[in-house]
Amino acid sequence: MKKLFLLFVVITLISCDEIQYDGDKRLVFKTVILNAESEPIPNSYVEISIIAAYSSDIISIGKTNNKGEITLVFPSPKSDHNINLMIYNDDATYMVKEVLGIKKSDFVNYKLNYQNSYLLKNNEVESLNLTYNQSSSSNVLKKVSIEGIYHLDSEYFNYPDDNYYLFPSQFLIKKNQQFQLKYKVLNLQTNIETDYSVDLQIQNDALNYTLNY
Amino acid sequence: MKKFLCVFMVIYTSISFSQNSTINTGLEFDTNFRIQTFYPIHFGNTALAKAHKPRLGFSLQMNFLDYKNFKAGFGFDFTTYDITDKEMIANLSTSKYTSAYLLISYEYKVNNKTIVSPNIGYGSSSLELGSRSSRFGKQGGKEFRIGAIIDYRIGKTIFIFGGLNYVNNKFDIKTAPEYETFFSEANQIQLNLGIRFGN
Repeated sequence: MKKLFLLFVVITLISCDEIQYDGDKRLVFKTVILNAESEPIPNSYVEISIIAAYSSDIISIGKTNNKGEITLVFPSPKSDHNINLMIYNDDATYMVKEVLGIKKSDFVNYKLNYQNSYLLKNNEVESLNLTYNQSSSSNVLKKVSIEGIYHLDSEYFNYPDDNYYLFPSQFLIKKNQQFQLKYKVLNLQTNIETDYSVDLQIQNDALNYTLNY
Repeated sequence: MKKFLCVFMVIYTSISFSQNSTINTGLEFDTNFRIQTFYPIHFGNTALAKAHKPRLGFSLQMNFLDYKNFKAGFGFDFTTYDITDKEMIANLSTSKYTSAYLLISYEYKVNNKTIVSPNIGYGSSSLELGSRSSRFGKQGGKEFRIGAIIDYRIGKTIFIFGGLNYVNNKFDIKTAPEYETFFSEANQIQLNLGIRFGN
C-alpha cells in the first residue's frame, strides 16, 4: 500500500511538472554557426529544450542553411524555465556544444540573436586551464568569459544564482590565437562589481593561468 | 461516435418532422442542417500556408431563422494540419483549428432541384499547437467568411451540396515584429461538400 501511495505521489509530481506553453507567444531564436576560420557551416543542427524540474521538451530543432544561418520559432513556456541549446553537426569531428540557462527575459522583444555559435574540431583547439584563487574573502567571482574563438562542452548563458563554483576550469581555445579572459568580481563590503580583462596568447600547447580575485 | 450519431438523429428527426412557426412579420423559425467535409487551401505568407499541410476538415451548420429568402444560423468547423516546417512552428506533428460563427445566407431557387446560397459569416476561431495535449497552448482569433453553396435536391428534405468559401482569420499573437503578420493572419479558400437536411 505504501509503495502504491509513493508511486501515486511520484506520478502526480511528474504530471504537475508538465511544461505549459503560451501558444499566442512565440519566441524567435537566431544564430549563425561558424567554424574556426569564422566561415559558416551549413547543415549544422540546433536543438532547443525547455527544462523543468522533472521533465523536459525538445520544443524546436532545425538545420542551418548554406550561409550557416538558422531561425527557430517556438511557443513561449508559461513559467520561467531554463531554455537550453544543443549545437552539433553530422560530421562527428566537430565537438558538440551545449548552452544552458537561457531565460525568456533574454529574448528582447521576443527575439534572441545568439552571437557565439562556433563549432570547433578537437584538433583545432588547445586547453586554457584556469585555477581560481580567492585572494580576499570579501570578493566573489560573478562571471568568467572569453573574448575570442573557443569551445566549452557546456556553457552557462546565465549562471544559476550563487553557483559561481560552476565556472569552468578549462576552456578549449582555438590554437594560435590572441584572446581576452574577462571576469567580473563583486566586493561584498562595498557591493561594487568590477570588470577585469587579461590579454592572453595561446599557441600549440596548453596554457595554465591562475585567476586571482 | 455513438454520441455524435445520437445528436445527429435527434436533429435530423426534429428537422424532418417539425413544422415551421411563423410570426406575422414574415420571420420564420425554421431549421435546416448541413453536415460537410471541407478542404482548406491556404495562401499568402502565413503560418498555415507556409508551415502546415491541410487535412480534410469537418463542419456542421444549422440555420434556425428564415426571413423571406434570408436564413440565419451558426456553424462549427474543425480540422487538423500537419506541421511541415518545424523550425517555424515547433517540434510537434500537428496543429488543430476550430471555429464557431454566425452565418447569414440568401437562398435563390434556380429551379425545383437547385438552390444557390451566397453567405457571409463572422465568429471566433482558435489554432492550437499539438492535437493530443492542450499544454502547447493556442491562439484565439476572429474569423470572417464569405462564399456560396449550391444545393441539389435528392429527396423531399435532403440535398447534396458543394460550396466555395473565402475565410480570413486574425489570430492573437505576441512575437518579434517581423513575424507578427506571419502568425496572426490566415487566408483560405474552403472547398465544401456535404449533405443538407431540411428545406
